Amino acid sequence: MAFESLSDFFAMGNHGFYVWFAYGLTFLILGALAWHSVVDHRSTLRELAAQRRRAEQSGGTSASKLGNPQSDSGQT
Amino acid sequence: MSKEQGWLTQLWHKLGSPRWFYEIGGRWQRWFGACAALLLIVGTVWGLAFAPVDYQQGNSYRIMFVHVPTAIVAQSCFMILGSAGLVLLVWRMKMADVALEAGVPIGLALTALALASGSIWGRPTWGAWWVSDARTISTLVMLFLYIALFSLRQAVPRAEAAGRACAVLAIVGLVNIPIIKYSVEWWNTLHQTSSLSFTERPAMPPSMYMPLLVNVLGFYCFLATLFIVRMRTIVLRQNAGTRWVAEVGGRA
Repeated sequence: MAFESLSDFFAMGNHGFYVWFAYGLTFLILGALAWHSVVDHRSTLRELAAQRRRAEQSGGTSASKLGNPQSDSGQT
Repeated sequence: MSKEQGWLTQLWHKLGSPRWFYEIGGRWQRWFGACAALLLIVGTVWGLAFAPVDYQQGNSYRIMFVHVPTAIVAQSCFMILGSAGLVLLVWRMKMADVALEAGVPIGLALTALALASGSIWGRPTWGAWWVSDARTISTLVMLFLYIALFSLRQAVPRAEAAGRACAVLAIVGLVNIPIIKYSVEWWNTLHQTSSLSFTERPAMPPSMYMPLLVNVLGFYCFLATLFIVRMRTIVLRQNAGTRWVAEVGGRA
């Protein structure tokens, strides 16, 4: 440990404000990036599942309504 | 795919296949995510509590353990976008465009964060929240390039045209990367020179650069995780309505 006590650790010399501000902001942004990426992925999955359900209910008007019914990959 | 093709050609085709990427990426993102979390916890606790205090800057230097990795991956992210742009223009690979789209919000946030944490570090060290020197200005230029890439994607209605325009901008923007890197050597900047280098021993003792190295690795794993998650989302949207998306998407 580089510090004598817990209060020393929080004080960071007299730079506590700057150190904790920088770390707080960094992990806030990293957390927000991760959160947004995961939420966006899940909502996309739900949206596509709902689209498929609607297509099935409307009776086989099929995939052409949903988007691009192209082959399933770039493979040749 | 015929069996006679070499493994390299096969890999190339696989890399171009959205479905293959979606499936393999689902596995990769877990490993990268777990490594990122582990490395960032170790590096941060190490840097904050165990690394020795700096004899000149005191404890404010500990901002380095998050500021330097943020700035490094923000630049790497731009280099990925530039390379993706090149692959898109030369080989028309669809997955390159997916990467080019996925990386922009990540790089934008990381560059803004690097500028912000640098500013917070600058206040106690240089006495000002903002100091204009070659390093800070070239990083600001990178922020504007990310904003331009972000706006371009929104502004051009045709996806293919938007991809190509972004590719050109990302490739041209690569010019700024060596300027950021060497700014601290070419000009007399207030910003200190590189903390880490591939070719030289750092000016710091291992007790300081080891936690920095751990966090740099952690940030790279985090960058990889975000890229994979966001690329998979884009792949899903682009392939909506195909049979494989119905299969992997389940009934959620």
